[in-house]
Amino acid sequence: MDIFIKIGFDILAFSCIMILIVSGLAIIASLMGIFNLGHGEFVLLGAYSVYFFRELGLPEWTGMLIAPFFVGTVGLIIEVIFIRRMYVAPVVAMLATFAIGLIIRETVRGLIGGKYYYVDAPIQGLFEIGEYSFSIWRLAIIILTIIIMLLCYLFLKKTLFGLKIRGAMENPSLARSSGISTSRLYTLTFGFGAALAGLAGALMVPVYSLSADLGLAFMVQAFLSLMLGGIGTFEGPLLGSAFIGAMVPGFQWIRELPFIVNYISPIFSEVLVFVVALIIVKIRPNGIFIKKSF
Amino acid sequence: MNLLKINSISKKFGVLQALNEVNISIKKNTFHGLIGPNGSGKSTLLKTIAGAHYADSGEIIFKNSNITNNSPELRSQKGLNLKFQITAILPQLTVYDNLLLALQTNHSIWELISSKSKYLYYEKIIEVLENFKLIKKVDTLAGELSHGLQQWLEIAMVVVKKPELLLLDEPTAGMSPQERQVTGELLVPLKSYCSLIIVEHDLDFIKDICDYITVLDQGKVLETGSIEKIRTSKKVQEVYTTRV
Amino acid sequence: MRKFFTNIDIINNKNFKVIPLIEILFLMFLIVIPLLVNDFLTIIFTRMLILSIFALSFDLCWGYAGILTFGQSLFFGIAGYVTALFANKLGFVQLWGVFLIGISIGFLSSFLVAWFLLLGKKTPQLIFIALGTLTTAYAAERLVSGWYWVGGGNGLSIFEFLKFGNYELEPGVSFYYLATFFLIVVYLLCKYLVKSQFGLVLAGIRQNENRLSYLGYKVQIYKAIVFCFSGSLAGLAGALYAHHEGFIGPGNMGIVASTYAVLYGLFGGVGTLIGPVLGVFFIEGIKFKLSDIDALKSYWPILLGIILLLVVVYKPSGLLGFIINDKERFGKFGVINIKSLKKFKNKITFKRLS
Repeated sequence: MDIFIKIGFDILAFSCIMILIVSGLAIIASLMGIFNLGHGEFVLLGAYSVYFFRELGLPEWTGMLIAPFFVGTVGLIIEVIFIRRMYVAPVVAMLATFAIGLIIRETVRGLIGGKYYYVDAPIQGLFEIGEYSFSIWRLAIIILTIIIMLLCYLFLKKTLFGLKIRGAMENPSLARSSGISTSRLYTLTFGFGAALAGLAGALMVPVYSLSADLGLAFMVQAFLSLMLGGIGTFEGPLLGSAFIGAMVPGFQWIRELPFIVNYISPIFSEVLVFVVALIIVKIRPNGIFIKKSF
Repeated sequence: MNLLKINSISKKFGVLQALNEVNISIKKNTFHGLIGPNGSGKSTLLKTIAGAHYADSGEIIFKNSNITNNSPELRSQKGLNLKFQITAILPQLTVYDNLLLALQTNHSIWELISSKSKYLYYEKIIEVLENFKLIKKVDTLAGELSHGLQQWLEIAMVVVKKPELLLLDEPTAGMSPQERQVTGELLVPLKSYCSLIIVEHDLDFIKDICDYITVLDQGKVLETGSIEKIRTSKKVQEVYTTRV
Repeated sequence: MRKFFTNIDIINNKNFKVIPLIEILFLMFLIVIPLLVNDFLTIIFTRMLILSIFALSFDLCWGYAGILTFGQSLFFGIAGYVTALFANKLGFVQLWGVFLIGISIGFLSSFLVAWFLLLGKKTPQLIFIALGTLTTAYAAERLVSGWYWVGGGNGLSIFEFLKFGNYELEPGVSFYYLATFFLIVVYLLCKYLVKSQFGLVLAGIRQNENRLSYLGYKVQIYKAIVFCFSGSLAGLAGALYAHHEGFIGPGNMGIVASTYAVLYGLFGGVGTLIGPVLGVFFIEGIKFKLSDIDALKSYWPILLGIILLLVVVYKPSGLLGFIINDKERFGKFGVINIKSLKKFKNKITFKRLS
């Protein structure tokens, strides 16, 4: 029985990371119609800033605290300089974010080299249920994610700014003519999405080691989550990322079953996640959770 | 004989009942106007006929075959064409090429690759351009035309294939009164081979060229019949005087 | 009536076309290169020729059919791996075989991807195709780098030279002319395709996909055909590349290689065919120059990203956008000339004109 708690805990922790990444991606995509191909690199940047502050001799949590603000600022700057020019041409904007992602990734690679780095969690230690032990840091990630998502939900539903965002999402031209500056809204949203990605990167770096290609893997998984969940709702991407979040550690667990472990390499189970997700998206092009489309 | 018969079509968008048990039949070689207040389901009906939406229930019979679940391409190949509300010409191609593209839909891919059809339509295209007063612009990029000319080009693109049923979504939107007049004149000769369904806000335009009118309101057919019948209908007057 | 015909703005008779001139100059350049440079540089140029085929495959997809693909390297890589396996496990290095393997493996793999991503009940969004191809390329790279039968992270080396009958095609002048031959054939094929009436349909799809399906075209079929054709070309390039370099690795299959395809295309100017080829020569040329300077070598990938960003934001029509105008780039498909209009004049009744 305990093993199921352990599996569930792993799945929950990974899902939470995915939720942080995907919700940033989803809010940018549904508000601006731009799919940010550099989102994975925002995650990478968040992870890198933790490493950077640790190298300065500061404790890990300073990096984690600063990361969302730092990455958010980077997002704001990118939006103002490049993305703002391309609201009318989302495809061009997508290519631009792809290029920006490339620049960030290669810059980080230049700074840390092709190696893997391990960063300690600010709160170390384990707690035990039955014969299995759980990392306290993963628990902290879960709690933090839940708090942040609740805050986002309240922010969107209860505040004036959230109302503006929802309005601009429904009908941008009407929102503009009612006096909402959509371009400022877009800038802030882009920054906010980047900040969420940065936070996700910072929180997860003790769990997954830091390397330059970290962002790519998460980018692809986040994309699949978004496709599974469907764009345009608050709940869809959350459920999609929970689904991907369940599959990634889930397949890892299946692989480690005694009969299979000799036949399947760890990479194969990772690839299997993509294949399964793409097949689901193929069968249900509007996302698995949306019952009827129009 | 009916060219098109629509049997109790319904379409729902979320909670909005856009079309509710709509029945219409269109005879051969007649012009049919579709009017109604904003949000009455005119455009939705047109798009459902063209295949941009699929109906939730009901069926569409075109030339005695059920096309309810056919794709837009297939409907087009059967002789049912839609002109968009927003002009959808291909701006980076010349006027000539726009028409060439409209004409080659029934060629196999191999014929297209070997360019067999390249010279086939020369006279046809010139004739249509001639009729639609676009001959001088034959070599101009379509995107450089004025708005009115773009509308005419688009009508020419759907007319050139001699469809049996043509759906026009606000063909005179954004045109000057003179241009409207000419558009009407351009459409009248089509009656010899084609039926039209026109969605239009300009009631005078509809009155001038249509044989029959259907009035939609809140997704339902309010009244259908000849112009005289609509003009005297109590129900229609009620809707138009109280809500428009 | 005479005045009426002179009023038609026939632009093509006046206009001077630049692209054919560039093509001829470039062809002459290709022919004389091996006579002017040493063997080492000839090998570098051969690589550029092979990559040009790869760049053309991207241009067909994005520049002509409007399919944003980040997965061209997948077909390049798979074909490269298969021909390397044939060489290593079976000792098969005949040119005709390598050619057939490249084309057919490229075709089969792109057909699978096209069937999956393009052909379906619902028209796929651009982003679905873009990220779907990105995902497959990424997944394929991960898969081969963890699969020891195909060399894992080290990739596969080919130790024998490509053979034409009993003649060994060593990288150098003979391989150079072989690659030139392939590039010219592929280029002419692409040119023929995009100038045909099929190309007219593609031009329509690129500008307004929706409109074309209401005209009666099965848009997704056309896209799938172009995708498979371009996949075959990428496969051919991959097979030639593996034999020329004597090596194929996970890096040739993944996102980085795809990024190069995108970059060649966008830098040179998509939708022109010659643009991406020039893009290859420029980008690879700069890369080659920079690799001599140690201080700059490690910054090259960053520079690559910056170039890509600048092109996308400031000059989407690429290098060729400086030389040719829009009208030439979009091209014309029908034939109009004043003579035939005049001949036609008698048949038209000008009832509406007066």
